[in-house]
Amino acid sequence: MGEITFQTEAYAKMILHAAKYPHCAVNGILFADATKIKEGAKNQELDIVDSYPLFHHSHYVSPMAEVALTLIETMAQAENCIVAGYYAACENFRDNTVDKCPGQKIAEKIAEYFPSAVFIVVDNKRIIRHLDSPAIKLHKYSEGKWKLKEFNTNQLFPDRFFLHSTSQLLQGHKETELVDFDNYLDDVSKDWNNIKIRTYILDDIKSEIELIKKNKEI
Amino acid sequence: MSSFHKIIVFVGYISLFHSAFSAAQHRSYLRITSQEFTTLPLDIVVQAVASLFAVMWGVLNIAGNLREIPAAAELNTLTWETQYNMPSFAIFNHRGKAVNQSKYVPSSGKAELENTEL
Amino acid sequence: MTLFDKIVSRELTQNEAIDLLRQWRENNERKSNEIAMIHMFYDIYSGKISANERLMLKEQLIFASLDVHDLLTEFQIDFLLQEFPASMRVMRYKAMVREAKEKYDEALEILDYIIKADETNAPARKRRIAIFKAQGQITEAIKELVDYLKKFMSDVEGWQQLCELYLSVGELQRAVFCAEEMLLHQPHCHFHHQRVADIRYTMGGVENMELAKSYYCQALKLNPENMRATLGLFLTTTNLLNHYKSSGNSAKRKEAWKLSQWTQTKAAKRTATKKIKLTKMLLNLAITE
Repeated sequence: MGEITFQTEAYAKMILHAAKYPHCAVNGILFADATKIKEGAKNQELDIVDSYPLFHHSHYVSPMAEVALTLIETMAQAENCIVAGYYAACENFRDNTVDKCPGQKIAEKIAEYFPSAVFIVVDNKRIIRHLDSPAIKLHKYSEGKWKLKEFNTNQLFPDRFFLHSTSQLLQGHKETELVDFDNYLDDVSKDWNNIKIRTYILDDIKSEIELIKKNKEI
Repeated sequence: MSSFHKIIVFVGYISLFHSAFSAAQHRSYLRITSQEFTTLPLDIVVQAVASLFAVMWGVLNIAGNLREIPAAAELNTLTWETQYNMPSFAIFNHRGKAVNQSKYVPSSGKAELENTEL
Repeated sequence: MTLFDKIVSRELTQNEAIDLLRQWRENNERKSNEIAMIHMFYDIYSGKISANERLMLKEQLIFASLDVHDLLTEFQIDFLLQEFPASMRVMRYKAMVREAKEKYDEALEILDYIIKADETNAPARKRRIAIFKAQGQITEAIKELVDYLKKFMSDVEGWQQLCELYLSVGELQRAVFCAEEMLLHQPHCHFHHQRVADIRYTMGGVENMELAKSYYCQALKLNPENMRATLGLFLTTTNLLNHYKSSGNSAKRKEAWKLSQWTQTKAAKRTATKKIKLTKMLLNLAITE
């Protein structure tokens, strides 16, 4: 069956994007590792390795979305990944369903090219700076609709420090350093790959592992 | 910085009035000695022109940032980051309630979640 | 080092903090978290500020605390009420507090009272519309906003909000009308030209593409640095080329082709990073003859 795994980097960037613009609807694209994809199989196993934040305004006009998606396709080919999913968060605190999210056309286009695509809705009610749950809802495309899928947190997130790393980033207010596509269009010198965030996460995981080692020695 | 320029403007004005007074004095002297008036002496002219430029330069510096002539020049420095905000219509019913408020606790009751998911 | 680190470690001086607050106020930026933190760590009111600016800072703080859902906002408003007892402006803030706590009926009561007392009070009417938006009643909000704009026709912010609301429900024709109204009021602003062009592009069809092309060109004339207009123009010309190839209209095709080439070179000059190859992407999209 199609098992989905989410790497910390992808998850953290998604949550940071939502936290950076709490008063806006945000959306972005998810990348999965292409080496684990089997051609033509239904219900693929997905390893979501990265996410690219897209917009926090002008969701309903299409030119920049087209530019972003074309750019993302080129980048996906270069990094040996495929576009495997879409995430969105609603503007209104109480909206947490697929229907209220912006950019559903983008999600449908992704599902057209890749039927096993996922749609992640960020749960506005559960994002806090000390995360105690993943705060997301997973949907899969079947029969023309996005259907909610239950998931087991430990299965979905192989890295057991994912909540801790993301919480550390949120508490350090590192979301201000995240660059989404709108920021990139305003200033082309900014790094849309968000390599800084990756280094922060790796540093955090390293320090956690060292802490655990120390505790074991004691 | 502005006090230096204010001093320059003040000195410039004094110097300008002084040169005007000197010119008037010069003319009355010529009238008294019944000489013809041709041109003002060079030093008065130089003093007048120099004090004019001093006053102009001082005033320009005090006046602050000058605005560009093309109407669009100021607008071009803005970005969409500030343009999309409409403060009179801003709503507070967003995820900032959860993210930024220290006392918010996400409810774990299923009933509340089921009600608001519809 | 992020701004938050600088605030916490007091690397930012008090004057720099006041300057930042002033800059955010003038630029209309919504940095509520940062504003709340600055007021927490610095005693702003003891700095070199005029009486007018003190009140503006207080208003800015109230708005930021509502955004951050700070429970002390009510006290701040009560202090203001003591200074200005019968002020409609302060009453409006009271309504905003009720709105932030999701007590929409009470908030609407206060706003209706203000509007009854003063028919020309535009901000109170705008807050009513914001309340409908917050409750998710978009059609109601649109109706109210249309009524409001019939009375206050020159409110550019109102037209901008109406444009956004129409876009969110998919009524692109009406959204274009609103965007064009904004253009009438501020013809030198390149954002409005770009916005009209974006909506026209989204609507699709050759006529709309031609219009989008001319609006993007105007936006670029006003601001040659507008990246969105450059890329939008590139997309429009590519689209038009596609269309004219089949219909054989050679004069228009040549014009579109020239514009497309020009935007490509322009975009290529502006991309600094090597990793994200914007030019490669443009080449992929472009049609070679």
